Amino acid sequence: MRSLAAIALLICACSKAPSTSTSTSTSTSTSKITNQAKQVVSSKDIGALAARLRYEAGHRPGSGLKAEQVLDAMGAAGLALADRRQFLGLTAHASYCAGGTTKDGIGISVCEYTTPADATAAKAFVDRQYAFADTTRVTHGAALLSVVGSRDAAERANRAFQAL
Amino acid sequence: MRLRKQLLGAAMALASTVAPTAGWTSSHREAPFITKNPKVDGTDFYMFNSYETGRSGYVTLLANYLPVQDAYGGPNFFGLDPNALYEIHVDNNADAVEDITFQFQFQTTLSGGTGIALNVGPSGMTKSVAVPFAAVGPISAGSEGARNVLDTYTLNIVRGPRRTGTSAAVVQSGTTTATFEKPLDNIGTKTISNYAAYANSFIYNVDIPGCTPPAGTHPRVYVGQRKEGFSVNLGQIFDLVNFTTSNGGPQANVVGAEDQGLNILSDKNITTLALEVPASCLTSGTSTIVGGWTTASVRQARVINPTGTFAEPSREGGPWVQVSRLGMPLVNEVVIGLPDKDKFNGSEPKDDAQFADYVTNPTLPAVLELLFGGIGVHAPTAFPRADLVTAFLTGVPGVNADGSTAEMLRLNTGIAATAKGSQNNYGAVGCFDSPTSTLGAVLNPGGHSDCDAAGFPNGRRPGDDVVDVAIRVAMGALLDTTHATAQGCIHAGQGSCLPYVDGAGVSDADFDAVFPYLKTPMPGSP
Repeated sequence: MRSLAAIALLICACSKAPSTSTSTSTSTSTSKITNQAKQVVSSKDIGALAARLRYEAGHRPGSGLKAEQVLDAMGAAGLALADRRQFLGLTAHASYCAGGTTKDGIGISVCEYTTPADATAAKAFVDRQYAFADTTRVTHGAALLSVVGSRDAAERANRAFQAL
Repeated sequence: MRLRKQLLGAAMALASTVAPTAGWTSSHREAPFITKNPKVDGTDFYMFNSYETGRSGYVTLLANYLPVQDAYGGPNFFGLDPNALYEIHVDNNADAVEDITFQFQFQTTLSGGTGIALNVGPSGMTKSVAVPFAAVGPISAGSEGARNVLDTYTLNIVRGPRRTGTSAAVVQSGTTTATFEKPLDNIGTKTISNYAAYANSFIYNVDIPGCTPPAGTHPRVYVGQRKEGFSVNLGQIFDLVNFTTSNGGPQANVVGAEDQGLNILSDKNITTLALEVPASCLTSGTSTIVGGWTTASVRQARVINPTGTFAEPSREGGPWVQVSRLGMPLVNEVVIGLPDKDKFNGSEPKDDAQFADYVTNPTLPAVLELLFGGIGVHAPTAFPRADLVTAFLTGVPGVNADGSTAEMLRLNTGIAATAKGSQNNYGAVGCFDSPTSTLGAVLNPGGHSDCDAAGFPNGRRPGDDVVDVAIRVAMGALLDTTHATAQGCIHAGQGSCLPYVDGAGVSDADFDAVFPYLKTPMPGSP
């Protein structure tokens, strides 16, 4: 209960828009950070959720598709988000995630990974652990796109995603 | 005597310097101030049409206080505060102001006035020395000679405003005795070998002035320790590292099995104030709907006795100040923001407009989206959240809406109880048609096999899984799909929705079929 209250407060301190200026890490440093993250086993090591979000925003993969790039493509395909927000990447075994909802109620999220293999493995995990109805997940390179909504919207989103 | 005068004088002086409108308030462990006052910390409130066989026409009220009791917590265990006022309020005319209040006040004394003493020492040097324990031998129903600490209480019914209305004593049935005894907590099986039978001997048939019970029956009251009935795992769900990494410990899946064995309260006890009242005593006019909530109040001033005694560790005076408030579950835990939690605990339902933003623009869905957005969980986008206003503040039209807008636990006493074994632990949520792409959820009580209109949010029974229901409703279970992309399910097997859970299941099978319904408390030793 208290954890939830604390997290709710932390929300206020969290960035609402994906960072566009923190993706300068080299692949070498990203690899080191990824290894560190895998050693994390308890919240005592993570600290506050806000700190974790800042960590993820500051340690995005140095190469591959960026969430902003994908979300811009979604907008061009008629799936513009009403508001872009950062999500916790750890849940999807990702380095970084962002997304939001369109005015028509289509939910879109993009997660960034270090390598295409990481993205594929994460998709397999998420599909197994969170088999949501009406959710389509596809990878392209080292990015994972999740679309919640109609099949038509998912197909449109996937076409735009794969064209990047 | 001189000390008493000094203390009382200081208390009165302090009381007079504190503005009466100041928010000296608190409650449940969710609010900062109440964590310092666990004895007056209201944790759960249940109100439902009695489902014990032969008790139709009654409403059961269960008010729990003093959270997270470890059964071995001796030697003092978990007595309630003799300097506090514990109350259950009922509004029966939809103005969000109490029309009936049940007031409990407690007294704690030592056996014989000074406690049980033993003669210690050799002949000629023997001294009578008070023992440090709550009991010094086996105790059973009707045999409490070895009990060292005695707890009694009085119960009044107040009609009208809680402080200025007409008060009358509830008495043991057929007598004028207005004092009731509370059983010793479940110290352990060597002290109390059959706690269930022992506790049952403290269930009283009572006469409530002004109330006419169904023929051949009596209202009942019980106050004592029970096994904690609330089931929750929120802490771990939102501890994302435990949730997502494979570190060997149990992990909750927010859309996994309803019961993942992760109830963090499963080995805890609670103290229950249980009252069974004729429904006709609670309602007014032709309406069968009542709103209920619990409070606890303490005196505004407290002065610590520097030479404290069992009877007088402090002196307390001044007007009663409400420090705990509880109606609908989880409101102050996951709806009200931290800066206002103590304020909420000191507030009254009639003034709830001051908290409206927390309902119309809730933080819980935003938290869920933040944590799970990467895998496709998105917060509803309909603002203001009129669906949550319905769920938390007005009641459901056609079920328990009474025309008021305030946070109370509302019960339609005219809806027949569902027997143990037939209850749906998602209660009345299953009575709605699934949301469509163009409409929000529509109440259709006769249209679904999983509809149990006698359950939460139509009142609350012990077996109602209010955490899962709250999460699903917060995630848009009652909204249309345009405004709730990843909405919570309201029916088993429903397709386009997410069956959010906290992994700590609860159902009617976890409780007794008879008053006071909550199970016998965990013993302090095997």
